Amino acid sequence: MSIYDNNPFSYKASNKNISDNQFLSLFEPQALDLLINFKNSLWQNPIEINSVPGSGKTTFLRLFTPESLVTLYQNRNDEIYNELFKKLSEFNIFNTKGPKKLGIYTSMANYYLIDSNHSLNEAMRNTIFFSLLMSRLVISFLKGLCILSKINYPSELSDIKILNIANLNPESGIPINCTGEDLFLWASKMEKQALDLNIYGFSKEKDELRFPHFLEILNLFVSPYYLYNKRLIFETVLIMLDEVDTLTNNQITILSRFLIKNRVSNWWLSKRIEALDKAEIFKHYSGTISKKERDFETINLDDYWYNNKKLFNKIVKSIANRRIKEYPQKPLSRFSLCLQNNLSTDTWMGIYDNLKKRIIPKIENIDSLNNIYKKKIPQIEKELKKSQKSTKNIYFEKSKLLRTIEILYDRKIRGSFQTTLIDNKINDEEIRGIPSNIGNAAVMKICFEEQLPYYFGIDRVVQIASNNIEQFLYICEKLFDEYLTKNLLREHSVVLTPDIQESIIKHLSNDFLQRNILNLANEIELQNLVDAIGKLSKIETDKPNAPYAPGVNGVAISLIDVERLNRENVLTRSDDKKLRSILHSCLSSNILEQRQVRCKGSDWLVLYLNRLLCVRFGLPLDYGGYREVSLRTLQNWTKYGFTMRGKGG
Amino acid sequence: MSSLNLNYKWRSINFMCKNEKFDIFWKELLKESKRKLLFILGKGLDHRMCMGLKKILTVDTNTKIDCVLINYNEGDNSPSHKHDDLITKNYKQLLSLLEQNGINIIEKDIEMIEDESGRKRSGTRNIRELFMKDLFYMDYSDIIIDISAMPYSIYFPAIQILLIKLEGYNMSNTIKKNLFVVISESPKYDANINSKEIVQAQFMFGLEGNLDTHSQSHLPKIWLPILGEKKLVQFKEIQKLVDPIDICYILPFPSKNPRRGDSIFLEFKEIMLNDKQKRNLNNQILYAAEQDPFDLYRILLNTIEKYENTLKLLCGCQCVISALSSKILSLGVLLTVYSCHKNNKNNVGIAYTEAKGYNITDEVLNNPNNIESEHFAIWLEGECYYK
Repeated sequence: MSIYDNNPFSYKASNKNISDNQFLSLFEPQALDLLINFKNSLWQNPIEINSVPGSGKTTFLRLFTPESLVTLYQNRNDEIYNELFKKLSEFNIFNTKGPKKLGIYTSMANYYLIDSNHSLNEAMRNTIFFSLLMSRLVISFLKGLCILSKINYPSELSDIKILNIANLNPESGIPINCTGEDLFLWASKMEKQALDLNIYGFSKEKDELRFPHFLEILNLFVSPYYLYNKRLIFETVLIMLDEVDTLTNNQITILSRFLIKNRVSNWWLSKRIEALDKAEIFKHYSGTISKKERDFETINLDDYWYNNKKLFNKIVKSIANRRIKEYPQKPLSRFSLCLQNNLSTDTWMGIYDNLKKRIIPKIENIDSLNNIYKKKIPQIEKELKKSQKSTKNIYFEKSKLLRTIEILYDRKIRGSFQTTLIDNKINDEEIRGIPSNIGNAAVMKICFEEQLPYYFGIDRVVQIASNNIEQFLYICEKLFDEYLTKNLLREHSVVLTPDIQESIIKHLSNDFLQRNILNLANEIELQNLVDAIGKLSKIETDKPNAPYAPGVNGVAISLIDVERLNRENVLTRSDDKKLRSILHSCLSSNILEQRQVRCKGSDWLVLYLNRLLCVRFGLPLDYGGYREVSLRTLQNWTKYGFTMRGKGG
Repeated sequence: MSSLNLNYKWRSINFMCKNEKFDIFWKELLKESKRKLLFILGKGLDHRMCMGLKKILTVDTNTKIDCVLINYNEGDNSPSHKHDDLITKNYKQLLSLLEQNGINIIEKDIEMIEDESGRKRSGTRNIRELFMKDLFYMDYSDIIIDISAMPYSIYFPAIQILLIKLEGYNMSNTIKKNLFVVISESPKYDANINSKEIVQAQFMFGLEGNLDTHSQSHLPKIWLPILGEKKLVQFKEIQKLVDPIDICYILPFPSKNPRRGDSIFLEFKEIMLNDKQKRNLNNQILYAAEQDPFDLYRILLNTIEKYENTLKLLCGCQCVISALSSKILSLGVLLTVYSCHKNNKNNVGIAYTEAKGYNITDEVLNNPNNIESEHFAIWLEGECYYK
């Protein structure tokens, strides 16, 4: 928690305490780019949105609620909201009078208890589940009608007229030709009755309702039947179910079956991922349906941010800039202005001199490396001059090149260097062909060898966020706290130096692990596992020839092993069960991140350390470097901590 | 006492005794040979599990007693398995105690989880169902429930159902049945038991009133958390669920350690002082006696009443209570919500979190007997309320 009142990074945008205006001013319009791929199917098929906690699912859904859309429309000409309005308009959300979509949001938390009611049969339990869900959707729908009509909920519901809805069975008991208030009373009664049945096994209401069929209730959410002041209120609805992961498997199956079989459109389901299998909602049902019927879309926010790193970088920077504007006491246009983003020229000059003394004599007799150095240095100078960048970068680039050459030298010594690059007839194209990851490894090695800060600057802060917006805000909150402290009594602002930034981030890294582990089961085993992954990664990363440049920060287990872990039968070994439980804890608390890759002809599940934990172990922040391990190795690590024996299975 | 007053009966009449008076009370009560006792306790890792029964058996060995042991199944992944040896030790101790005194034991199993992940908790629902359907306790004149080794999620619904059933019986019968709660309380021991893997907060099944009803969700929520040590994570989880417009913190005072309330305040100060809604703290902290659930009961009822009166013009409010405190104080929470529901005040309910298991620190693991416990008996229903 921030030490300063109103630190703009200390709250979640989805927090209900945040006003709609503030929420919209904080929402980054570019985040909507993730919907572009679905532009044609967005309103046609059910969509499931998956991610680990903190990736912004609830924030995303909040944007489509009537409260947000009405506020956005009202303020559409305001500079702060205009871009978001334009972006949303591309998705056919507004007409000339306001929002035409009515978003119905509801959380699915606590429905699972219905399935543990053993005194009711399965059919009854399913009826209660759907009746409760539908009654709540109707209540949320009516609230949305009030917001779109700009009247008070629920006191002015009687001002909404409901006409004779077509396709509605008159015997369903659903009130028609009535007011919003009548429908509200009916839905409230249905909700109460379903809750009573769930808790007491009987209804406490005097006149019991007949639960209508769920499809009939869906007929309620059709536009032309709702009028306020003789005017239509909306065109179509969007139903958003949050926290679907809290449902039982049975409930997920019947819900997805219902949606797919009835070809229901405009339903979004959000689900938190925390298991090893990443099971998708509709997969619970999809095994039993034909290919033609399988019309649903999946958006995995983690994969999306992982695959669109540049966009993520841009978006979170923009989020930070929006937030910083929320703090008028220290007017700043960009968050990055709080941070020193480079080391000083003098520092790099000194480093370059040191590197020259060390490396040049080594490569003197190796023409190929010498040539790279001689050809590339003028090239750097020329390029930087051309791009009019400040001269301080020259020494950084030169140092980076020199250290890269040293890595290539070490590779040559170990015989792993590409032969083309050690050929004396090296050309410009080949010089440019030195992979950038070796360059990144070189920078990291310089920083660690020279005891310079490495984890600082806005771009590294974004990387440390691990594609998680909540984590990014957490780091920014602490950095901004320090920035405010530093500038408390100063007239002229001072930025946070790289040393201070790194020291705060290192503290956060340790705190992150302790805070997460403290609350988890198998705390010692978990700590052992994380430490072991960190230590193995460090050993691999620190190798002079940087074989997995820029370094390693994860381990991979084969998908065959993952299947073994997920298998549940009498033969499942207790060691496997325990490891599964530990990995589950690590994934659900974001200590590890999972990515599926194909390598050496097999499929692997890579378990990367959260980027914030990479700081703790002095590891690179890029993805891609991992070592394969067996389940046995992981099990040994959890028990005995890290040992080199058994490494790599 | 008139039957009308019975709805808020603990406001004016209540009975509680501790330590030396605990012994005297049981000696006096069990003098009558016609009594038939049922002792309900939970099978747990807490070394206080058998203390209450042991104490009662030292003052009286003639009364006919049966014992019901609640076994909780927390699943294979529960962190509590680390202390399986303690559970076995307590269980063996219980069996030997019962054998020595010729007491029958009935074991009842309760599934605490819905699936392997342990995130979906069903213990509250299952214990409710057990006590609602299986009226095994109705054959006894006196029912004692020892909550020393039980989690909230078990003893809240169990006591709620026992109260409903026994009050129903006593209203229409001359010979009354009694319900007692027994607690072996030790703040030091409690401070050394850490909750592990705290799950998402929820409103307590059966004690949620209208809090989970969406048709009432437009009403503003007032939150009354009773604070205790090391409950920051739970506090934050519940706060997320409740999303209150106002928080009224309750601290333990008077307390054996007069600075306990201050220490708890210091633990929560960041949250309390960084309140985004900038509430006036002076009016938001209440104190309730550390060892008196009835004091807390009265304070909660008065506070709820005041909030209701203030917010009446704005369509009213919902009051959410959370016990983040000791077991004895938590009982005041249960009694408040129980009384409110009995009076059809369903705008009051409980929000809570559960943990997938518990861990005991080495400090008490190595020397459990060095930690002193106080024994409390609380008479919740029966003869004393009808005289």
